[in-house]
Amino acid sequence: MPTIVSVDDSTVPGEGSSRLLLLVSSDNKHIVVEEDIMSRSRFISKQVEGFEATSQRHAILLPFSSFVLNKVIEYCSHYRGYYLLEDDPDAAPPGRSPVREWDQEFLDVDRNMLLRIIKAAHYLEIKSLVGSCARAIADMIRGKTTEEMREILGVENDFTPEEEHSPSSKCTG
Amino acid sequence: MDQSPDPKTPPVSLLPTELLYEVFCYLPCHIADLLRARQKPETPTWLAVTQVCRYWRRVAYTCRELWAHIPLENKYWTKLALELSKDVPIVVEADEFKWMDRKAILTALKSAGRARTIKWTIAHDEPATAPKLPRLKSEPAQLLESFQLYFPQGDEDEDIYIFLPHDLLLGPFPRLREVKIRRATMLESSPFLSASSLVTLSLSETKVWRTYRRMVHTLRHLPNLQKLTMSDSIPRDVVTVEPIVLPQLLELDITDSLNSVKDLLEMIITPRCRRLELNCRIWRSETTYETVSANITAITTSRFSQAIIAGDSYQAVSFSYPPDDFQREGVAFIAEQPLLPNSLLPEHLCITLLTIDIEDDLELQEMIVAHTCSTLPLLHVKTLEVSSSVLERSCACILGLPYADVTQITVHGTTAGAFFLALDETQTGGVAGPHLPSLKTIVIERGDFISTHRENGTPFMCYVMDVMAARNEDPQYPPCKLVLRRCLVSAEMVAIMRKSGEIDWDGVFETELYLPLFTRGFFSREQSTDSRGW
Repeated sequence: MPTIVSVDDSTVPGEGSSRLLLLVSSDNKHIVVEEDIMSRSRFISKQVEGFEATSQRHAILLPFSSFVLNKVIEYCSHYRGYYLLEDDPDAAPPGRSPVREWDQEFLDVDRNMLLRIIKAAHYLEIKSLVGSCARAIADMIRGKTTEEMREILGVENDFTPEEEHSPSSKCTG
Repeated sequence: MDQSPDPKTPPVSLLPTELLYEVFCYLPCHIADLLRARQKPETPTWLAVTQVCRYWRRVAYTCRELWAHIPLENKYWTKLALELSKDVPIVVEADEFKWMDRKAILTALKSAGRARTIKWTIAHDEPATAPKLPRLKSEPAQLLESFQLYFPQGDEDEDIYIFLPHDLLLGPFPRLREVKIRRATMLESSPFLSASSLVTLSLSETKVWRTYRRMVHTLRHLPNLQKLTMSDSIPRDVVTVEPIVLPQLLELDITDSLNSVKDLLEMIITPRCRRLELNCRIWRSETTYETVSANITAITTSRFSQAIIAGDSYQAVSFSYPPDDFQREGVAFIAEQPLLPNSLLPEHLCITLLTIDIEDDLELQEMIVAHTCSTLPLLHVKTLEVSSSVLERSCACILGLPYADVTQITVHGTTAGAFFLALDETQTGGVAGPHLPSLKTIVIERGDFISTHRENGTPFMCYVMDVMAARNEDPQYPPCKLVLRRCLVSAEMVAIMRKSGEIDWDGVFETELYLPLFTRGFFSREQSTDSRGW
């Protein structure tokens, strides 16, 4: 659960059709964003429902940097008002979300950034963004050798030589 | 079972189990995905994934979707994937040209009850006889969404068709949306042709047994059909019946003899059709000029053509004539026949000259293209497509016309160089100039831009780069994007292009990585795939 800080109503207007939310990143940057934009995030939606139940509005503290948060907001802004199948809880099974050209350009970032975005999207419960990031990561490693995969994602080989060369033996840890 | 990652793993790559699982879900892929990713396909991805580290191996074995694309290289892998994919719908893509194990293929197909996609390319070594397809005793394939069966293309004279048995898979197929069949014989009552959910149907060199009348009636039972491709699959001896209305059809692509095309067009009405591609062949031995002329007139006055005009909904008209088999006089004769009424206002124009006989006859080609252009009003053309063999002089005819609205030019193959150079000579400023004020995209399909001895790339590609730079630097024109689709490009060229602005790498082959695929004949099959929907 994020830390919740009470917010002065003058800081975050709560009236009108386009209400604002205050998001606070891990580097303590305050970002005001329209609630409507962030409605794609199930996590944010649940928080907002909580505000309505208590009649109090709060800032939402998030455990990732403002740089990452801004990327997520950019994604949500782009798809504001759009229905994306993957964000539907009863929608397509994993691994079947479509390729979207805009997403491919949006996620044309370095490996570290991509991994940070997918974690942020996972935290915020934005399934469509998680799916697009997962596809981008899969594209990075598909067709690569084991060694190349380790290098690309910075994973350390912890197999014994016997384990490593017996791919069909199910490792139970 | 503890599935948390090893603490020694660097934090940035520490993906929680559910995210790693999600990534693995996207790893099984069709060959098209592989080409998009421009990576070499030599190591099975699932095998590499299970060898990265213990954590990855544990997650991989629990990720059912990772195993859903059944490997067919050997029977052991096939069984393992069938077991580990559990209840997830599977994809079976069997290509007997790719050293797959026939037993493994049959093992996978016996699980057709779980299949979402079955794509089976059958090798055939003995031209004298057709192989027999096994009758698979599978459970009903109720999850099947796509069924594709390809028998290799043979000689034109070789009258061998594989028979597609009724009970190859047990129907009905309530989710079936796509059927593509090449060079097969099937009954008109086949369950593959009677799924009302069908959206795409492609029949290439395929005989539907019984009468044509009944075959057309089969179409009547496909109310959701949106794309119909028939390539040399319209039977002879047509029986005239009441026209069939295909209410949802959006795209129609027919390749056949002129006579058969005429017969089919007389019998169907497609009120919503947005794209039509006609490739009419005329066999010299079968026709006279009079019958050709009569057939063309019949097409232009058919109910289908009238519906086109009345519907005012056409976006695309494509020509592929003159026929392969005509000599100069015949070609000239055909060129003078307007294939579709002049009142059509297509937004997309595709000009294709496929004939081999007139390859060196530039004068004749110029005449044909000039005539084609003069029979079509071009003011509304928004996308222009130029296919192979439209050479330099013919281009001059095309380019003398106004293209104020053209936003996209698609050029095929090595023609691209000649096309753009001709454009440059014909119009001041060429592509970069005012002749194409709305141009936003240049698409080059199946170009060959391999340069092993030039540091700066092929002359044509350098030219395109210059055009892109000139357009993009001039603020009075919209930004222009270059799309390379299924091109052969060397690593050196890739490096040059990456420095040169906006490029969409849509399935570009990097030569060094994809050469093994070409040598197995993959590329030639892909080529025929796109142009005819196969």
